[in-house]
Amino acid sequence: MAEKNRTALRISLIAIMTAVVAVFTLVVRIPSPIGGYISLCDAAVSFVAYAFGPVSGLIAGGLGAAFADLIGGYPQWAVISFIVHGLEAFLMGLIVKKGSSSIPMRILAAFIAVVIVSGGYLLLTTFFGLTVFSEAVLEVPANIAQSAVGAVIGLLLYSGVRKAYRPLDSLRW
Amino acid sequence: MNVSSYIYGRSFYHRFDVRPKLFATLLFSALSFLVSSYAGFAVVFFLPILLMFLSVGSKESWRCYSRLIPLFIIILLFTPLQDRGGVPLVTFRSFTLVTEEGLHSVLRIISRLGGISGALMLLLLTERNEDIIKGLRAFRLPYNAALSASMILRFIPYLGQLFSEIRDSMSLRLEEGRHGYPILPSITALAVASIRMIPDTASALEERGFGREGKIGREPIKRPRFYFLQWAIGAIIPLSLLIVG
Repeated sequence: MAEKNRTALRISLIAIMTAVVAVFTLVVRIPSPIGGYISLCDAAVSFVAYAFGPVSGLIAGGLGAAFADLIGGYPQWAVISFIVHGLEAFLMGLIVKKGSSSIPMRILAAFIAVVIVSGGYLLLTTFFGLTVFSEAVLEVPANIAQSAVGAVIGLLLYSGVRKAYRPLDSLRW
Repeated sequence: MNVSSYIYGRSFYHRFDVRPKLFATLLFSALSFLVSSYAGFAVVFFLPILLMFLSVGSKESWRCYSRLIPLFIIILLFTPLQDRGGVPLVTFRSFTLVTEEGLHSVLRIISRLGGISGALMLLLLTERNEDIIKGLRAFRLPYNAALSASMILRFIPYLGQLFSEIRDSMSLRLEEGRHGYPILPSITALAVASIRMIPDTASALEERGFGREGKIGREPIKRPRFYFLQWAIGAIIPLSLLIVG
């Protein structure tokens, strides 16, 4: 019975956090000084990893980014987004321990996020044959900026939410 | 916020059952990687466009493909310059601009990108999300995964609407004459509201009989007329790529 209750809680957590990542990617957009918009996908992915750990981060972060691609009209990138953002959240969740991580560990987690996102898109879009290497390289600076800003915003968001909702840590698994 | 791309219609592809349609989409996407002839590139690129045009019309087809045009332009500009070995086709003085290999590479990437995007968009335009989930269940997608997928598709528009309300109320707190909204307080409010829903949603699932065998969402999809013919068509169309490829 207790296991069933736990499964219902996990399914609810994954579904809602996946929807949060998709909404942050699709709806919340910050105007960029060089034109266009920066999405908060990486902020949401980092937040899920910090708040709920590596497994929830892997599933909700990866699925949320993939759903955003499917809904946003870029279905060809859904698989790549799932792998890149899922791995990003998984590694960040592993590095940053439940509420007690030191600043160097948080910086390391942010650095890992930047490397995974920029390197992951560069390699996987070329590997899956969806673009050429030279075109994929053009996207690297934007991906570095977005994932670095996202990791910082994700951390600020986690601190803010933790203050506002104390039982947050009890939902981590 | 609308999470469904579905467009109502009674076209040939709309009437196709979701199971052979899912199979055809995946097979077409996989086989597009095996194509290496110019005729094959043309089929990979134009077949989804033709089916999309016949299913949802020119306006929707243009809306889907217009998003890809900037990418096509970048690929057209960069790929030939990167791949300059081989038989020259266009030269400027002693500088080779386009080679046969470069042209082949450009067309391969553009056809694959356009073909896979078109096939996936065609599926999303002609099937409701809940029918796609039922189709995936028929392919043995675990029940918990299907339940999560349907919950996600319900929560995305709800949270999108909630964020709009939070953003509007937060914008009222700005000084007069300033536009926009405070981003961090707005996203924090959305995250807190979302997390508060988790225990309530879990309780609602248990009250609806989560975990009890055969309680929710287990109804099978009815077989339509010409079901096996649809499977045959769903296999033959992608497999034709092997003949032209």
